[in-house]
Amino acid sequence: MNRTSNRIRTRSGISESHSNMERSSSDQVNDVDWISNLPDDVLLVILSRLSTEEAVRTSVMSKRWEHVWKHIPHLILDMTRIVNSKEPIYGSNRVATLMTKIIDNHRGHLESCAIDHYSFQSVNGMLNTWIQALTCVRHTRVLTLTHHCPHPCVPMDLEDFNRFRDISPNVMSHPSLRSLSLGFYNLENSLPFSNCSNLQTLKLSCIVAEVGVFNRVLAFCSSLEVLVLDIKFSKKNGDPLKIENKKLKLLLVACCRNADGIRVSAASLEILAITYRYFRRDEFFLTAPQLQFNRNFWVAGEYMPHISYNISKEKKSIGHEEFVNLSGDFLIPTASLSVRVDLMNPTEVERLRQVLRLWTRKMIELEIIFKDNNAPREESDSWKNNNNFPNAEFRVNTVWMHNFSGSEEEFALASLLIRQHMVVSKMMIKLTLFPASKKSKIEAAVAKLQALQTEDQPDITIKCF
Amino acid sequence: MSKIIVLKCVGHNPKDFELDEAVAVQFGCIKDLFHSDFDAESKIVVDVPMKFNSYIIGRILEFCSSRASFSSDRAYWEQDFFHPCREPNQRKRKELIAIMEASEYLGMESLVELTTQSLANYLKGKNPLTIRSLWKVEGDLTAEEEAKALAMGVAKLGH
Repeated sequence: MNRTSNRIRTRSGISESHSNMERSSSDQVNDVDWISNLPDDVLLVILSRLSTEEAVRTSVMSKRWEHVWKHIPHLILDMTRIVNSKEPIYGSNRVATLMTKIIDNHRGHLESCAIDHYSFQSVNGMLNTWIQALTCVRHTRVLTLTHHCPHPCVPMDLEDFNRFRDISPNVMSHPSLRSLSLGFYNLENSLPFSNCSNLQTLKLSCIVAEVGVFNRVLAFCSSLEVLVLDIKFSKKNGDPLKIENKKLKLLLVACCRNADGIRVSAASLEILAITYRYFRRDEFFLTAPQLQFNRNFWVAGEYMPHISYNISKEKKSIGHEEFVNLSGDFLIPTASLSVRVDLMNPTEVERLRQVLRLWTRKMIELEIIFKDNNAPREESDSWKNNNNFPNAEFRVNTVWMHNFSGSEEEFALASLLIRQHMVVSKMMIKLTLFPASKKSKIEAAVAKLQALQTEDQPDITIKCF
Repeated sequence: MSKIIVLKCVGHNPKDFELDEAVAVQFGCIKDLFHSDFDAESKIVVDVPMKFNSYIIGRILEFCSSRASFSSDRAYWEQDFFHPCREPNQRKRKELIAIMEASEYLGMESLVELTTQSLANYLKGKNPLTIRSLWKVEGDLTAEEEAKALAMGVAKLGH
């Protein structure tokens, strides 16, 4: 709510009068409808905190409430919450009709909508009807579709139940739709995505398809900036998965089963997170010029889950926002991390802090490459004095610091990590290629770091390499 | 010598509240005053509109002080006032709404958040007729309008 005080109004006579809480007569307090007198935008905030079904139910209370819910910016239509599980067919068709009514009666801007439905709605065309109403009529920006199997223990590949079927090519290519998430479908072809150059974000969770279908879908979505893949290929035919989206900023691969290799060529990629363990060295090709790091993630031929992040100073970073919000779902804390950061830039420092906080368990390895920076020092560098950077719980086994120049900021970060006992095993520092005169100053800084160790940190090694 | 901000409440029971910095910075509309170029010795008086009486402002300041001091009493205060399971009486409902409006006026995001969540909690899980009677909402829909609204919702299904 961003309302200035000038817009606060109350139609209740009591508040405007001279009475106060201690003195109101009980009659005056008891008979007044305080809640209906609140302005629309306040009621909307309250209704947004209820489930969609409960918010819609308030329309029955009075004329005042009849249309308020229709302006809620986020709808969550979850059939699984409402339908009686003993009678899925009967119950689900009825609920599906109600959901259609809710979508059709909504007014105002619909920022996001999430639909959880059963197979029947794919089969009988309701899913297509909903997508069309949401994108072409309501102009939803963020759409999440999740399929639920009505029968337990049906495998994901079983086509009839899971098909993302009969979706017209144009319903998902409306320009206002920017983010699409699909869960638990079998994609039989890429037609629904034919004109999806509108999509900025695509998240595929538990999706099965042939590699050719995935490749065509990705090629159709030419404006993608965020891509999350938790997918399985229905058969191996020797072709690799190809990700060549020029604008891609964030790529997260959580699962890529049955893949015959993966080729990524993304010039704008800032964050690459691969938490899937089963890639082989010879089947993984990456061209991402912004993500040049030194650590080797292939140990004895096996891949170590790893995240590479070149932190940007751009004011708005969709990759960063999505990454920070996703982390809980995709095993990010099991991975090691490499970052490029400019500690003189407060935006980049804050982003580093937010990312490090995502590791709720001990990080195995942290590689930090300090960017060269010739810009003047900015004012807000309070992080250096903050004894809880990134937070009190952060722990990392080994830290590698590259391009360490001994600057105030770099020294501050290194000493913070040591003083707060966040480094468990080793801190390895690679000095930058400075002339000999500067080298001794830097080595002195490293010596100071070594001196910071206390008696209860006997196992930490701090050295240059 | 630190700056002092005074909240001046008028109305039936007028009262002035002096705020120290730790409390005042929690108000979005006031915290900037600390960074402005006033003489450090000065006292800044902020007039509070009449509809926010001194009792409500006092309650808000109680919340801020316990928050500023990270006191363990805070959990109790919030529990007492915002507990979702306890059905408030009408007086308490009015107080909750007044606190929400006043904290929005003063720019206190966290308290606005708490109060709106609290109001939502009191509505959750209740059918519309119950809400109507508890909150004294006058049902003024025609039979036809009510039927149409009922057909929209899932009120008939297993609630």
